[in-house]
Amino acid sequence: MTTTNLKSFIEELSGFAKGAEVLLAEPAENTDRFTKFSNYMIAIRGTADQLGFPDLSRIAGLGEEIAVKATHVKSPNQSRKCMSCLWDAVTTIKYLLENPAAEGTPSEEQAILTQRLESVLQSLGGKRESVSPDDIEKLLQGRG
Amino acid sequence: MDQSEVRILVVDDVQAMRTQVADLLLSVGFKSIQLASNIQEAKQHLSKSPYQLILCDWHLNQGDGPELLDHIQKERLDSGCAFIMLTAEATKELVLQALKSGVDDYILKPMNQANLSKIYKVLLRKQIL
Repeated sequence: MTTTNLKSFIEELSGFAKGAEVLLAEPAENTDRFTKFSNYMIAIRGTADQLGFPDLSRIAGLGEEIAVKATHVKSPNQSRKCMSCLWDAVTTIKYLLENPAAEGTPSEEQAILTQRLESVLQSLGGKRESVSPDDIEKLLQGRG
Repeated sequence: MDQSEVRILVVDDVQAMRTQVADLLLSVGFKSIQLASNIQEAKQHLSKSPYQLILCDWHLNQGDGPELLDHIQKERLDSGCAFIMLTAEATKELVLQALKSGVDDYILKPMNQANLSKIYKVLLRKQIL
């Protein structure tokens, strides 16, 4: 991957992060905002995996899952918790995109944030059930 | 069919992904690769000429991968064409949905050398290669 390519890829991901940030500022009546937010996160996660940015992928993955949970939460307290986590996630994503050299050496602050996101996600019922490439292989074989 | 003749359509709304996947395919000898960033662009490509392989992301800006697969099946464009979902979407419920709808394979991002063998397997199974 050339430096020019990497720069343009990072710019594209920064655009997604900006889009996600704008969604968080939208009024609560916009019931679609969390779904759209999670779509931005999955785009960032997939591309981060492709480009080899594991820290970015991890934070985007947590943001994606919390946003999915946020579409179902009923209590204002839980809703506030989700919003706060999503703001933190998107801020960290922007930081990582602006400082790609920070990838692979997560700061203490970033580690604390990751723990907090994981703990909030757990309190909301945990991650959705996912499958690995091996699971998919078995499912495909089972399909015949 | 020779590998260099296989026409491939890569559908992903992220330019970085389209570029990376195309580069990888070119590096192993595929030559005819078209890129689409949404369903409409993909449909336009498909209406102009036949493709033997479609690599499609699940989540697209407008529409999604299953919608494109549905279009291909309804328009009977799936004969001699392999449809592979290439996505970061690993939620079990959605993967099962894709497998049920008839995708030829389901590859989780990142797209890498190891996943290339899956593509070759599908192309051989469907007697495209």
